[in-house]
Amino acid sequence: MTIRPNNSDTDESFANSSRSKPDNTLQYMINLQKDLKTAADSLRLELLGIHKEIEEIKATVSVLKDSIEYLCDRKALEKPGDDTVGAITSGLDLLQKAPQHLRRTLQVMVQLNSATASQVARRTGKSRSLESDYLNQLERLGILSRKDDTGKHVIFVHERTRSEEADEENEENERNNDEDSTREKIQQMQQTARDARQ
Amino acid sequence: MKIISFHSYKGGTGKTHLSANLATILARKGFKTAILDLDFRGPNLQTLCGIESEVTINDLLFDPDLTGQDILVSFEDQYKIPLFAAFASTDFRKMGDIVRADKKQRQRSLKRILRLRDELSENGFDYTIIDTSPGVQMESIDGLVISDATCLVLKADDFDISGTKSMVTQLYSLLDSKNYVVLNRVVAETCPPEEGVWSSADLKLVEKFEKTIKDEMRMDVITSIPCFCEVAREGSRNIFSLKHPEHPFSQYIEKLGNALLKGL
Repeated sequence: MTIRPNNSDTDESFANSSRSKPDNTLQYMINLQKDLKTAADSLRLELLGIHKEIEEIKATVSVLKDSIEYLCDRKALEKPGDDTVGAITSGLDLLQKAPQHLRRTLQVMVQLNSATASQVARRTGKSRSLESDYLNQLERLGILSRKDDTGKHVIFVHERTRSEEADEENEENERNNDEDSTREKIQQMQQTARDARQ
Repeated sequence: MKIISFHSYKGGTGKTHLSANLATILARKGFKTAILDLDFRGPNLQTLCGIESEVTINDLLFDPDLTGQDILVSFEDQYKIPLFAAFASTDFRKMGDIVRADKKQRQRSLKRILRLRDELSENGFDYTIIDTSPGVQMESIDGLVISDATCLVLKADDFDISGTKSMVTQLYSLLDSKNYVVLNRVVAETCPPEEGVWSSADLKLVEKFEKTIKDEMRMDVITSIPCFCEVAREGSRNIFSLKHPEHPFSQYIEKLGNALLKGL
């Protein structure tokens, strides 16, 4: 920040007044007072500008904070496991994501969606303890997860029945509505920030 | 139940023809055999079998209420052998649905293919033969994933060795099945080979070619089937070995079947 008088003649008068200091102290004091007043006015204007900028930054930060909180809340409301939907989308995934010894178990899980080790063992003809080990290995690979309430392993592959088709359609509509409301909310916040700036 | 699939890098190698003829040979041996047409992008089995099926595998993949029983067509009465087939749709719209399938639909398709496999097994089928789409189409890989043996069909006179090698290296190395090469329509110097038996000069050439394939692909050539004019003349109008069970071509298919069953 540079403090300078708003009148370009002032520099010269200041220099002249300095030169005339020994001769006319009063004139010198008057000129000095004028210069200081001008500098103070300039400083005040500059501080007002800074204050306004700070207010704008505060309003923007507030909008960002609200947006982040809002998006975090939405994320927290999503069903657990949504991130892993699509872990196995095709036969190629079966081949690429699981080692050979786990593929039969994984095929059963793709068919059943959720199952205990005993249920898988019945389908594969292997022992329950071996299937339990295989399910845990698949869990460590991030392909399966465990349902907290039942202890069943779950794979996120969706079988769409007619009722689920309707549910899915509703979910899609809700999602679209949610996205619209999010967009609206963010637009409102941006407008608030713009208003605050003005 | 054991599953044998026929696959290739390029189209037009004779997968459907070989699949249908092998299924027929196995059924003639008394094995309850199903042939599944998973070549959704170029379905040809309906033409070969001379029928038009209203409910197809395409429908099964999209409709959760359908089961294997709804799509299987029996040839027991017609040919007096335990042969069944499930066809891919030739309806352009349904073919488009397969091409446009999104991630979720692909998941459902895989699940329904696995369910169909189990259903066939529970219904006492001994063998299922799968005819796949060429290349690395997702639905082909679904078929390969459930197979116990895979036959990579190469047409000896025209195949892309680098493309095929690349597919073998990247895809076949992941498969759990026993993988073989079938050389189809091998053109001999003396055409046609008498009674399907190679002359000594031709045999040397065929063996040399088989060795090249083995060295390049690191896969065994299970059989080299000569190009028979009679087979070419009949084309895709019928299942050749049903009509001509004594023809050398049918004998080759029988040998192929025996070799595959031995390896399973």
